[in-house]
Amino acid sequence: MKPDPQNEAVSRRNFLKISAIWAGGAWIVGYPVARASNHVTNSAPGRTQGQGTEYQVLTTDEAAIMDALADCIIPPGDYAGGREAGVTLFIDRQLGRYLHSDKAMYKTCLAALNKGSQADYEKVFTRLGEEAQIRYLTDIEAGGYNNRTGNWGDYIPSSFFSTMRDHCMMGYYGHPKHGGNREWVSYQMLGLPVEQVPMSP
Amino acid sequence: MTNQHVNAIVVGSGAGGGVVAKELSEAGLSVVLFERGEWARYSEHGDDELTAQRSFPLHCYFGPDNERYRRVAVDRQGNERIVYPNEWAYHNNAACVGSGTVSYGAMAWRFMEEDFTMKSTYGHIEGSTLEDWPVTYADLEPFYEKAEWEIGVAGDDSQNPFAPWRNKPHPMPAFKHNTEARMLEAAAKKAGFHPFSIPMLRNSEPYHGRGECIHVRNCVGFACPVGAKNGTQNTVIPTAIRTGNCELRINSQVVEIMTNDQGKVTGVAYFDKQDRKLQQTADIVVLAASATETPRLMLNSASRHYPEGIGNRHDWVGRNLQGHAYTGANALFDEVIYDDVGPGASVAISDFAHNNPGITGGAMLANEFIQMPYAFTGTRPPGSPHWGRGHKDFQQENYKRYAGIRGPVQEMPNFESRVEVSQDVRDHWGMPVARISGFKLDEDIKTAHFIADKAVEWLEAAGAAKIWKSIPGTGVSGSQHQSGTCRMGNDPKTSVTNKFGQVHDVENLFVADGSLHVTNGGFNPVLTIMALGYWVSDYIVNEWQKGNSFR
Ligand SMILES: Cc1cc2nc3c(=O)[nH]c(=O)nc-3n(C[C@H](O)[C@H](O)[C@H](O)COP(=O)(O)OP(=O)(O)OC[C@H]3O[C@@H](n4cnc5c(N)ncnc54)[C@H](O)[C@@H]3O)c2cc1C
Repeated sequence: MKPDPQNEAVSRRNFLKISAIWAGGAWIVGYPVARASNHVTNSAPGRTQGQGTEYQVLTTDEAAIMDALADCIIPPGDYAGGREAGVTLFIDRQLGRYLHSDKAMYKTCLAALNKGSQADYEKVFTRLGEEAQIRYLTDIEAGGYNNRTGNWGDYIPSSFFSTMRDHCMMGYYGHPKHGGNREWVSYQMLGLPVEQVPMSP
Repeated sequence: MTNQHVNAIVVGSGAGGGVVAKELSEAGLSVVLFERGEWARYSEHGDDELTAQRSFPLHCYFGPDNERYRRVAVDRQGNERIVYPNEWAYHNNAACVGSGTVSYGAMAWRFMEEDFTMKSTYGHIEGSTLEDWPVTYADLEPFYEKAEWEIGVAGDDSQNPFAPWRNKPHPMPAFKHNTEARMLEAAAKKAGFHPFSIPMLRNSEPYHGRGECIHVRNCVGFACPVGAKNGTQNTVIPTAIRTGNCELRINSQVVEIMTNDQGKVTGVAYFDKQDRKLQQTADIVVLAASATETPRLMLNSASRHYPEGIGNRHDWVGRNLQGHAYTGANALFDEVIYDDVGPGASVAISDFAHNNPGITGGAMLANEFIQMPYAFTGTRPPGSPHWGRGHKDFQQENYKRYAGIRGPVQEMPNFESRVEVSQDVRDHWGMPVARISGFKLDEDIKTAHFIADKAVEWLEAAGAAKIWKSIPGTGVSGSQHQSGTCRMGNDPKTSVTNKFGQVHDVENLFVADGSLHVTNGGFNPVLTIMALGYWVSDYIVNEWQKGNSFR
């Protein structure tokens, strides 16, 4: 019964204004206009190397940026990191489904985030070392980047970070049927049996 | 297509509505039970945390959907925004046959005697519309008993010295505790509290043809894999259908209460699954659409007779929206206390529900339901990292060493916390959506601090290594414990219905859901809503049998 305060504070829906749905004196059936307009991208959906995973929404470049982010949010160690656990696939699948209204944000912000490190670090995000990546993201999270570098469009970098962070958690800890948590790796990490058998206290 | 006239329409097949449909159809009235959602099934939803009814970041499997439903949320600065069912600010409960009773935690509390007489017990509270109920605990006691026996509750009040009196014990023995609850039970005794096993709408032994609980961790927020959790969908609603007098009409969104030139209710207008607008006429209409949707329906049913919405002559429809000011404390222990025996919550104390010096009301306190892995990512002591190595280490080290104690603080109702209908935003069918605004009073936050300190005391007695409190914010409550928006009362100027749930001035319109609550107790509300369903039905059936057909 507990809202995630971070998620609540930066919900994408904060950006929606009521006028988006009550336009010209007519009510609009289904999604408000602002949610329905999807960015059309020129690049074709990508394919990751090795695993043969076909992405449906993200391009190869975007997926690579997302992979790097996923490993910063949940780093590899004894148990798989976010990338290996399929967080990027989770996000790709959900941007085409339940989280479709976040698609445009990802398209803009992944590219902006990747380029945005050049000013301070002289390299794009995916080419930074782990330590620099974490420093850069910590700065973004704290509001250190405000459309200053890169093309963030109307999006606030720290808000994107917060939403993306939450999506990584969903992808890592949620049900594998949504694309992430490959082989229930997070349950293995927590020592939770996947199959629950009848028991009594 | 024309529908045949029936004796009674019940709008909403949740806690209150399911009970009413059964009682009226058993008494021989022909009934149509309307439900906007459909049947929810474990086989369809399974163990998917991301769409469960407790943390639903992707969507709410138990309804409603994000495509057709929305509301307007107003924050304390007056900013409005559109919100969707899987956002907390929507204040969702559920939308399926049985509503929240399919996926609930199934705690089965009776309110205490004082909970019905809050004004005379505590006096006037600044800024609050605090009032006594027009019914007493003694009036409702037989109906609590009926709910416990017909729907099925496991419990034992003999360990709880603060439990209200009862005529008959619970029908099933109380649940035993898992490792964590056994540890907390001992700690509560050490602290001088009086712990007991929480009464649950869950089978501790086979009951009415369904099997016993198998203690999975995915209980609250999920449907039960073996049907051992008792909601209206697997008890009273099937009974109602078996009478042959009740038709359950699913996928049917009621949009208006229809009235004639004399101001009598004639039935309802609704949209079916194909979005066709249809009508159903009846002698009586009973609203049980939840404390948000019942007032919305009434406000959307304005007519020449009822220009401000039906039952709203004195502007009380939608007022006094309450939930609970949930408060408590979290703790980490040195040793593993998790044994994967669900559902988790099982030990409680009622020591601080009333009689707290300088405090109005209070709350019961109980250990928490098992937090699923994604939900646990939001459970951190202040200042903890939310990502990176620190996040992952915390998750791995502490998932099985965590316990939480929480309590639903009884809120002081206020007139400005309310459900209105939006002037701007409409739903899929073109109807104005609910607009929710309001706040908690300082009194509620004061009580929340007091109760959280008691949770800390309990966890200290348990020897926790680290403890941190969680105090509620000042925003309006509602959500799963929403109530109060069509308060019952003796004075038509300060209430919406009389003590039988009959809307003042509208003889054949009734309310039978959480909206009726004058106050919401320091306990989860569902058993009281079920008891009110029986109470309201009892009045209707008695009148009917005396020859009053409300026509
Ligand atoms: C995850 C979860 C855990 C919970 N745990 C507990 C617990 O442990 N103990 C407890 O006491 N309570 C618990 N609750 C709360 C409990 O479920 C509610 O208090 C209860 O269901 C409210 O009853 P009601 O009759 O007022 O409304 P509901 O049960 O919500 O019923 C309203 C019904 O009306 C339908 N409806 C609404 N509008 C329309 C319309 N226009 N046309 C047709 N149909 C309509 C809805 O779809 C819904 O089915 C929990 C709830 C949830 C979701």
